[in-house]
Amino acid sequence: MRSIPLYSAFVLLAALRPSAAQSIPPEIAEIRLRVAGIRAQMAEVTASAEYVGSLFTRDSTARLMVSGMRNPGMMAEFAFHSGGPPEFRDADDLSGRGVVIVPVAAWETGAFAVAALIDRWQAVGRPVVVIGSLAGKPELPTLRHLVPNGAPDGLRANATINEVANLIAAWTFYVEFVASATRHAWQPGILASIAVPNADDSNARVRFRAPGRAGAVTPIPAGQLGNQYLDRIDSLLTLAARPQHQALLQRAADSLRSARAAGHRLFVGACGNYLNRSVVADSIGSPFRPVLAQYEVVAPMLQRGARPGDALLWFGYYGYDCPHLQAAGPLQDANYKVVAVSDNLPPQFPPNVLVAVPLGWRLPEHVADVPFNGEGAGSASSVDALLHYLWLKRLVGTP
Amino acid sequence: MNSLAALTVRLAPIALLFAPPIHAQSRSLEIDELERRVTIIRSQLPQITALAEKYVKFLGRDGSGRLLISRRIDPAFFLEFLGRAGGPPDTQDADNSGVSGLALLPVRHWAGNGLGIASKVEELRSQARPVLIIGPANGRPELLLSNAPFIDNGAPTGDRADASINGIANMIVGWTLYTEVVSAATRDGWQPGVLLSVLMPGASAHNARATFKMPGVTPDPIPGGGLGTQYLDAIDTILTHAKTPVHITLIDTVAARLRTLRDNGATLYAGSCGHYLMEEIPHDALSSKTFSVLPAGGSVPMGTRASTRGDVMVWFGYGGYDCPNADVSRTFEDLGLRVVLASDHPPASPPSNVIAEIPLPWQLPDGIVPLPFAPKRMAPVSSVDMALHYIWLRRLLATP
Repeated sequence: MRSIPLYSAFVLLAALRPSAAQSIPPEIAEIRLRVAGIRAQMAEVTASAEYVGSLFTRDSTARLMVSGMRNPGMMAEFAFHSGGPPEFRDADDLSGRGVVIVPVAAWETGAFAVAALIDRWQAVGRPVVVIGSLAGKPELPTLRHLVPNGAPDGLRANATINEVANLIAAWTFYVEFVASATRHAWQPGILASIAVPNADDSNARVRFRAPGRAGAVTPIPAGQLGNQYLDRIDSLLTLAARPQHQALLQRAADSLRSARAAGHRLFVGACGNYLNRSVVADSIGSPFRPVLAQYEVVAPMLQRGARPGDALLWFGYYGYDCPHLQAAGPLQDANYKVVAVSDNLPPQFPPNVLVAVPLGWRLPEHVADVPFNGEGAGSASSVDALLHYLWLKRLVGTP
Repeated sequence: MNSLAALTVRLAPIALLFAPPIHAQSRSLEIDELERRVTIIRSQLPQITALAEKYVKFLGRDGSGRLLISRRIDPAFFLEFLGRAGGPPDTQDADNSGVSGLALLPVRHWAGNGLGIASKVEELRSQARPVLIIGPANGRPELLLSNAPFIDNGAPTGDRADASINGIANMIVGWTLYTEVVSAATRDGWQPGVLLSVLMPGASAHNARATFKMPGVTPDPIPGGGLGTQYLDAIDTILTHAKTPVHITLIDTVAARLRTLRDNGATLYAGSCGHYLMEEIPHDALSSKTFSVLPAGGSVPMGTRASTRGDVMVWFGYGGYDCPNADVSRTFEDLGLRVVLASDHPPASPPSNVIAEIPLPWQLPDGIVPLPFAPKRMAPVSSVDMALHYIWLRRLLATP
């Protein structure tokens, strides 16, 4: 084991003089614009949340759902996530009632799909909430509920960054739905983070609609939780935009480029909710070969043709090793180089770790405060991880 | 194609999705014809339900529970029902005489085929395997086949000229029939197994356990006609989406670009990773000169590289550009092929060699008809949609 001085923020602070002229990475600049856009259109978000809150008040069996087949990242994000809802459902399973969330990254390429999906879900009695841009939205007569993602247009050139915006908009919508439920005098169950003692036990017991006395819930005003969530995202963007952090990202990208120049292959994998599934589908024009790391990381790399000395861009969760997946030891044993990106990174790393990039988010996430749940509601970890993935993907580039 | 022209194709004016056409457009003859076929198939639903009820007792017997399809008569139809998500487990080749089951004979045309089909019917019957023919009622040789159970695909004639669209109509009949077999089975007291897409969690375990007749399960009965109607409704929906003015304009524009490239010396290839088209395109290339095919879809020997540079591949993806079973995007780029991508899920950042995209109206999950038991949905529509677009483009690109 050796420590990595380059990783240490203290050493970085001393070694790297921030340049006043250093520009903001385009990913951060664009996401800031989207956050501002969502904030400016908060009334649209709360209107959709209020519709769902009201609907669910009348139908206690209804749940939130996403198509796991069509949106595997979004499904993984909400299926079992701290700060999120229990009993989140896969819309592809036709049993059960509820509202289907359909994200669209660009109307230019997604309008057909959205039109078809609205037809399909509404035909079986499931209302649809679309997450996408107000700008460039085609006139779809069946589209009644739109959560804006703040994008300036519906063009596919912005589709990649809009994926992050959709994730932010989805969580903003969710926390506003939580607030709406309190205004209808009921309390939604919220999953606890794994960092909380007895989380497994409490998560096994929590239900989408917490049992309780009618009228015992303090109503939360519309817009309050959504703006808190967006404030947290803005804070993470500020942390990520620090010159030291930018320099570290550049160093991580350079190490991967060097590995590639030396003839090694580059892979990417993640154990966090959203990226774990979404990187797998990102095979077009990427510098990385994606691997699905469900319960282990080395076996899927071998299946994709990895050889000793190849490099992995690894997104951990709650550390380099994830709560449900050991990464550090197996990757070292297999002699793979690693760029490790995670919150809660350990102070020392095995020698195969080229660079370690700390993420700004922390467990327990406490993204938006709710009076009935000490841990709050909403999650920002996947937004932070996805931002860094897109950022590194651009910096590494294709040869 | 220059980048501006490519952009014009990519930037289909989505805002006009449901707007009336500004310029005169060509109609999609294929959509009109398939809509007519669906109407005819729908009118036969009582007979289809009755046939399903007739055969379900046979299919429920031990050892007989499977569909048999003659691979020799229609390899694309065979592949459509082989290991298909939303379809039956254990489909086998009717040309293998050692396997019991209900044999489906999909007939695309009677011209030059009647005697061979009659002979196949006799052969299957002599092996105690019941036979059901799907094909054109018009032009059917009554003397030879009047006793054979039959579902009309609605073709106006039995001529060879309609073979391609009849293949699609037969596929629609096949899936409608299968939905009715499933509901008839529940009324007969047993639950058919239905395969689950590999894109779904737990698919491997589900599919390994699935048998044509699931043992020890008695489902609630599903009324006759309901599932078939839902399947035909879904087909009508994708046809409605496909004939929106902007989509027709897009297809016309793509075809015009491809004609220009061909006139400038490019070879046009076609390929797919979807079940039906994976067999249909190579077989079609034997008689149609519009598209060429690469060996094994995209797994092309290195020696072919030089000959494909600058040529165009019209690629029908499944679930995106790179399909669950075929990682083709890098291969096409390496081969120097320009690509027209027809897919349900275009990539966010297409490689620079993708010169045009055709969004397909069908969407995952492919199985479109809800079921009250696992895997909760059945009967895919993707192959109908992809094959429609293939023959549509083929007509627009046909050389005079």
